Parts: sequence; C-alpha cells; structure tokens
Amino acid sequence: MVVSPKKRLQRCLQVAGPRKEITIASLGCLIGTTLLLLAVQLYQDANHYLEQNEGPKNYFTMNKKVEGGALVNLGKKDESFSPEELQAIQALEGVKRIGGFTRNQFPVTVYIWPTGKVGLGSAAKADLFFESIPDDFLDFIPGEWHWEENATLVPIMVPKFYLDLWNFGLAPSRVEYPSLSTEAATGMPIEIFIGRERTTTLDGRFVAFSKRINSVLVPESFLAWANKKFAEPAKEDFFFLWKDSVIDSPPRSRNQLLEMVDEPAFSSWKISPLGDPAKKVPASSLVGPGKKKPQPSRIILEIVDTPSTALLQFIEENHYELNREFPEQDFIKKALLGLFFGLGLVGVLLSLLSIATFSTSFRLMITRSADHSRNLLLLGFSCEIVSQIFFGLFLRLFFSIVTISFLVSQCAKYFLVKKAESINIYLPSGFSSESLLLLGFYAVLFALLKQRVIKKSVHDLLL
Amino acid sequence: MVFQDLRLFPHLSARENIFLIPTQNGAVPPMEEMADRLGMNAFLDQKVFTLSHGQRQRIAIIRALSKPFQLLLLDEPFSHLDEVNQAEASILIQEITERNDASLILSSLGAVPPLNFDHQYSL
Repeated sequence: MVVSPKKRLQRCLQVAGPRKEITIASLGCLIGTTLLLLAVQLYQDANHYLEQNEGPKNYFTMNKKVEGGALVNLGKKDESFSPEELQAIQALEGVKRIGGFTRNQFPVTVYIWPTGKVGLGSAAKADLFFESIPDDFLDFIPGEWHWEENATLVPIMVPKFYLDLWNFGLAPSRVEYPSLSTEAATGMPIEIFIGRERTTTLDGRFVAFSKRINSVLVPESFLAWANKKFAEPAKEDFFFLWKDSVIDSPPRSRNQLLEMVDEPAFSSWKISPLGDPAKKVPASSLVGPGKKKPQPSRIILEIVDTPSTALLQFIEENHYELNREFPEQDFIKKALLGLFFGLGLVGVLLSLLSIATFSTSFRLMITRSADHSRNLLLLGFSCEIVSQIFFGLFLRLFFSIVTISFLVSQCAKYFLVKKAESINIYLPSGFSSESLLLLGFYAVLFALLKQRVIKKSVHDLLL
Repeated sequence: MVFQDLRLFPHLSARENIFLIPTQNGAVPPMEEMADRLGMNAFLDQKVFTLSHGQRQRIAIIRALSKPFQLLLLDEPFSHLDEVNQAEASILIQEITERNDASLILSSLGAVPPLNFDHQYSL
C-alpha cells in the first residue's frame, strides 16, 4: 500500500490530543459558531422584516395641541397654522419640506361592502373624513391615484394598519365581516355619501394601503373639487354685509363675499361677524393674503433624520404636537437588537473559550509528540512542515465543526421560518450572503489564530 | 547523521523509517540493495520496535546514507554490530562517502572500524 508522505509524517508523529479537552473545545466551538451565525442571520431577517413593515423614519405629522373638553371645543377654536407659522416651521433646522393636509369641509359617510358587491351582505358603515396631501409626500403613487371631474370612482388610500385592525379586530368579532387580503380589500366597493342628508352618492375604492401617512387620503384634485362643491361654511365664515351703514340681509358666506370682490362699490362696504355686529371691518380685509384659502390644521414634515433639538424646542414652546407613525417599532427594533446582540455575544464568548481550550489541547498534543517532532526536525524537516501536520489535523476537525454548525443553523432557521409563517410573518429562507461572508471571515480568523498557536508551539520545541 | 540513540520511529516499519527523509540521495544504490548488503532485506517491513538494537543500527545507517550529505557524522554506529556486519557496513559507508565526494567523522568506543581515515584521534 502506498502511503502519501503527509500521511506517513502524521503516522510518525502519532499525534493524539487530550480527548476530553478536545471534545469540550469542539462542542464549545460548535455552539458558539451556531449561535453567532444564527444571531447575525436572525438580526438581518428581523431588521428586513421591520423595515418592510414600518413607516419611514423621517416623516412626521404636526398639529396644534387640542386642549379643553368637548364643550370648549364645540366653539370651533381655529387650530390651523398661519402662513407665518408654516414659514417658521419650514425654516427650522433639519426640516427638509412641509406639506399641508387639506380636509373635507362637508360630512362624509361611507358604506363598505366587504362581499365585493353593493347590497350583498352587510356593509360596514362609518362617518368618515377625507384628507389630501401633495402627491410628493406619498410613499408611492398607485396607478389609479387620479381623479378628474365626472370620474366614476374616487380612489382612497388608508394606512396599512387599518386593514390589520379590520382583519384582527373587527372581522373576528363580527360573523358578517370576512377577513381580507390586500387584494380583496382593494376590490371592495365603497359608497360615499356626502352631506347631512346624504344627497350625493359617489363610488369609491381603496386603491392602496400607505405605510407612511396615518390618514384617510383621497387625491388632492378630488378634495379641492368636493370642498368647492359641497363645503358647508362654518359659523364664523358668515358675515353681515354693511352697505352705506345698513345691513344688507341675509348674512353672506365668505365665498359669496369673495365672489362680489369685482363689484365697483366693494371697497366701500363693511362686514361684521354674526355674533358681534358692531365689530365692523372693511370687506376688502377678506381678500388679504392667506384669507382666500383655508389653512391646514395638520401638516406633514420630512426631516433630515431624527427631530433636531431646535425642532423639539420649537414644538414645546408653541404647544404643537409631533406625531410619528408606528413609534413602537423603535422599541421592538431595540429589543431585537439587544436580544441578537446578546445571542451573538454568547456565541463570541463561547468561540473565544473554545479557541483557548483548543490552544491548550493542541499545545499538549505537540508536547506529547515532542520527541517525534524533534526527530523530524533533526531529519531535515522544517518547522513549517511539522506545524502543518498539526494544523492539518486541526483544520479537519474545525471544518467538520463549521459544517455541522452550518447544518444545525440551517435546521434552526428552517423551523423558525415555519413557526414565523404560522403567525403570518414571512422571512426569507436560507442564509444571506453577508452571513455566509461573516462565517467565512470567522472561520479564517479562527484558523489563522490556531495556526499561529501551533507554529509557536512547534518552534518552542527547538529551544 | 547516525545518532547514538538512533532516533528511529519505533511504530513505523524499517522501510518507512528509511523513506521518511525529506529528500533522497541520488548517488546511492537502491535501498533494497543496501539493505541486502547489510543483511536487512528480510526485516524491511517489520516494525522497528520488533528489531534488535544491531538491526536498528543498520537501518539507521541506511537512512543516514539515503540522505544527500557532504559530511557524514556517525556517533558509535557499530556499538551493537558483530565484526562481519561492521565490515559490511564500513565498506558500504566508505563506498557511498566516496561516491558523494563527502567527508566522514566517526566516534567509536574500543576497536577502530575498518574504514580509511585521514586522521584518527584517541581520547
């Protein structure tokens, strides 16, 4: 039988390490490597999942704080931002851009037909509101996100978690409401009733579910049209019109007055609020800047990163409120990061311990075969060749450990993915290229450290 | 070099011990021929620990000659060999040393081995 020179050298060294220590080191290395690999991969998976399911970090909504009880607020205190206030917010450090929410100025009631057909089964009925924002602030613009006058359908966009509320809150508690996938939800017909007497009916449909905007959105063009057509002026928007110091009845709305701007005597007329007829001001004051258009009471901000100190201080000083969608995800992310960091740390510690135990075991192995190693060195073999025999033994063992560790991690990942699927969390199967690269880097680093220890131990035999 | 304590690997066969050296000397007869001349052919496949000390000495001599060398150091190489085997080994060593154009230093207790020395020192 022909024996390779390498094999012969291995045989002549008769290397056998301390079995117990090597077994413990192998086990430690196996568990450490598995934990490390799983921690890295699961952190990536969790991060990926959260990123896919969270609202972007740098979008916030802002409004003025609502204070006092219902009776106070029935007086309809003006909560909208003035143009000066908007300008001041825009100028703050870290604020990239702002956009105003436009709200409906008429009552809206919707009937949602989850069966997919109007009149079939039970409809979910709700008094609702509509808002619109400039399209630039949407996380994506669906293909059907267009509305023109006389269009048959009003596209509606609601937050994704509304669908979750429906599926996990409303549907399980009511037999007549089925759970809905995103596709099924977009197919539901919606009847939109406008006005207190529901005089106008429009057809609507959910066209998308936003992860950024926490509101019921419709296209800007629709809301502008509907507000113009159906707006019910608020009390404070009605005025007495004074012509030559005599009230010209009946009271006129702001819009009616604005339509009279072009009349020659307009500049000589005066107006006064309904509740305080003596407080007369020139009618032309209605035409001043910012008076023509209602101002937004809620705005959306895109900021560079997290809110700056200046922005937070400004909010505090002006009694504003800054809201961000899904803030609890920060906590989840931090908790997951902590968990996986802990898992990874245990893995690293076990790996370090196994490196130390392997080093001791291999030193002992080399010392046990010191006579044979010295004979080889005296026969003309270099330290390198003698070291390589021991290193080869280590590599075989280490390669087996890493392979087993990879297989164990694969199995663990497979079961985790299956478990997650049972609770509707879909994770990618297998390992990412980053994890595999890290495993490769870890294996090379581990092996290089061992090679160094073995070389040094063999060199010491010559001294 | 032939060490006084031989430094063979007892758990390997005689042949394996001879073949273990990193580079082979091209200017020597085949290993089997050398073993035959020293009466060791029949023992080449035996483990070294089963051989007598004299047999081990002859294996160590063959191994030393199988390596390329310019100076051959022999530390009491014939201490356990009878006169016949000493003579055979000396002839072989002499022949291969000359063929390799090499020098030889030998230390021995008692009788001087039958080799042609340029210098001899008695201590």
